[in-house]
Amino acid sequence: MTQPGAVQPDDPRGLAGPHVSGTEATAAAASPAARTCPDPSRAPDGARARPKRGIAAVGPRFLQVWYRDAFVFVKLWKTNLFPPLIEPYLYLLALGLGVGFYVSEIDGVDYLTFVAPGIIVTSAILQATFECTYGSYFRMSFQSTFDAIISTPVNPEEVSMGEICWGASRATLAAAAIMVSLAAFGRLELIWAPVILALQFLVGMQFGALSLLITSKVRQTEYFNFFLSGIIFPAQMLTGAFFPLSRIPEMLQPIAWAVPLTSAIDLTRSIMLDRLGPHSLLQLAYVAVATLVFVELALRHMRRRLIG
Amino acid sequence: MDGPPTPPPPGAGAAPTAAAAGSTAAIVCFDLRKNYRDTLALAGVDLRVERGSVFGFLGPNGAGKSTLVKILTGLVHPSGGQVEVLGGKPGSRAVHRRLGYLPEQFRFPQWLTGRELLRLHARLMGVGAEDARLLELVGLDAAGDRRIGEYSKGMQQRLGLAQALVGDPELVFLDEPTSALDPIGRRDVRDILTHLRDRGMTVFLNSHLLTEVERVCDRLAVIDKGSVIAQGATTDLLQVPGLSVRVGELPVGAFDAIAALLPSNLAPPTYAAGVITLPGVAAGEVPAVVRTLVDAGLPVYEVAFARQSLEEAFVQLLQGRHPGVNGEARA
Repeated sequence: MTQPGAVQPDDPRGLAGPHVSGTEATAAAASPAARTCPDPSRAPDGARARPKRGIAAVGPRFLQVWYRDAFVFVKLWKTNLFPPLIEPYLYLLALGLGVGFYVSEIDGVDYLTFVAPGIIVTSAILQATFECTYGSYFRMSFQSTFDAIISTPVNPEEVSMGEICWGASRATLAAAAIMVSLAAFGRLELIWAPVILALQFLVGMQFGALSLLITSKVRQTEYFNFFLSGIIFPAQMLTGAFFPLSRIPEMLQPIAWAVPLTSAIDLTRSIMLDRLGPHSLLQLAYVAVATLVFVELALRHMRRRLIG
Repeated sequence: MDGPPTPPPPGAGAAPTAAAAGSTAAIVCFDLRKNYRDTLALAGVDLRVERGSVFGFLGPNGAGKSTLVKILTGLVHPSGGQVEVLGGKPGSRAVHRRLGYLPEQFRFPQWLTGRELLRLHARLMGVGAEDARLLELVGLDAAGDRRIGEYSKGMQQRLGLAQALVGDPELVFLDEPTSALDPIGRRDVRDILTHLRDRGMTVFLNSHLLTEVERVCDRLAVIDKGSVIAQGATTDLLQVPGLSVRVGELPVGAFDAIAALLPSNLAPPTYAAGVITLPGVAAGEVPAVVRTLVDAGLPVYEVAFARQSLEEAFVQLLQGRHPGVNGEARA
């Protein structure tokens, strides 16, 4: 105990910050042991145990984060659900019925049938993208929600995984809503609906993860404009959603196919047009691997953002 | 005053460790440092918070308060030093199960009800719903089913306090929990904090409201420029050894003449704003001092053993460390 009145340079009242005398404090500061943080990776027996990071660190608590997002969403379901669905319906009307009136056939089917898978997938990715950019950023920076969650037993990876899965859920919801009307138009066989929805969930995870990766880097929402205008909207237009890839210059086609979204759209179209083949498995694998990579990157970068 | 975190005896060869000191402490830091690139946020913080205390943490803006709180809650990695919270590593799941945290500037989804918010947080904590008890504790039992958007700022702050208490934590960090409260609300929060302390909970209170800290905290620390410049029991920090005698305005030069009359064994007195302060005066010496002053013709309006407000102590601690902080603020 430092005696009152024992004034030290940094302790004008003698109330002693360090709780140790000047000599002891100096000794403590000089000690290599005192200079190092407790090594979180060192197990009690001294063996090194690397802390889990990325997907390996995700436990079941991510479901609670997902549940929280879903609960808040459902509380405002009228506001949350309908506006985002208007846009894809407008696409359906404008492209499928409007433009489709002038296009007799494309890729062996009428234009509405051709463009429907593209609208499903692009609507899904937009939902996941907006949820995991603006939505996640709002929760992270403006509401301090993530800080409050991370101070519970939920770890940063579970927070991120919950956000990505919620983005994927919203993507699936959007896809489902469009599929209902496509079924009404006779453009979708309902037997394939679960498979298509599962694929949209996967694609939603991919774009949710990519978006969260971007969110982990931005310091203000204006930067999302670069991501949306520079990546998301071009990807929407140049990955075979609204016209066949054969229409873009041949030298650009490999680049278009390298974008996982192209495979996702083509796979969805193959399912809906009953054109599945061995290439579909390759496309599914590509989409799945790309999703895993983006999720892993998003989880690791979000940890760095959330734990400074 | 705080007891030291039991460092090993000098020459024992082992450096003091947080673990060695942590058995009775909720928080122990040794030489804790944090750099943000070229900016030094914490310059070797040593801190000890006893279990079952309400601990006030003060400092000017940019002093490192938020950084330290974030390190203790596992939201920031330290660059060096040692830190232990509830006997474990900050950020570990085992510690977070026993921790509550109300971040500064926390915003709630406005369309949830208070009860729903607490239930959601209970799920995140992995505990059963305890919204009824917590809403009652913070005085929101009648408003629990109303939308948070209809709550006043003070009600939202109390709800934040309830959220931080979900899971009945052993240690709770409150970042500015009374800033939006009216005087009645602040008194309610003080009562809650006192109740929590009586139940054995440790409360770490980060607040700019010095009067609140002074009233509710039994221990406190002041941080400035990344270093803890004082810590200990609040009563010790505010106590000024000596006597203060309010005599009113003195003519120029009169004070020196009076000082010469006082018993020679006393430390030199000072005079400011109508008050003579006599350091080191014992209770038995008070009658002689007062008699001397009265005999000198001074009107003695008030005699009291000196005690300063936390604001005065705070300003005094920062005096000389910051441009613009001077003794005038103590008037």
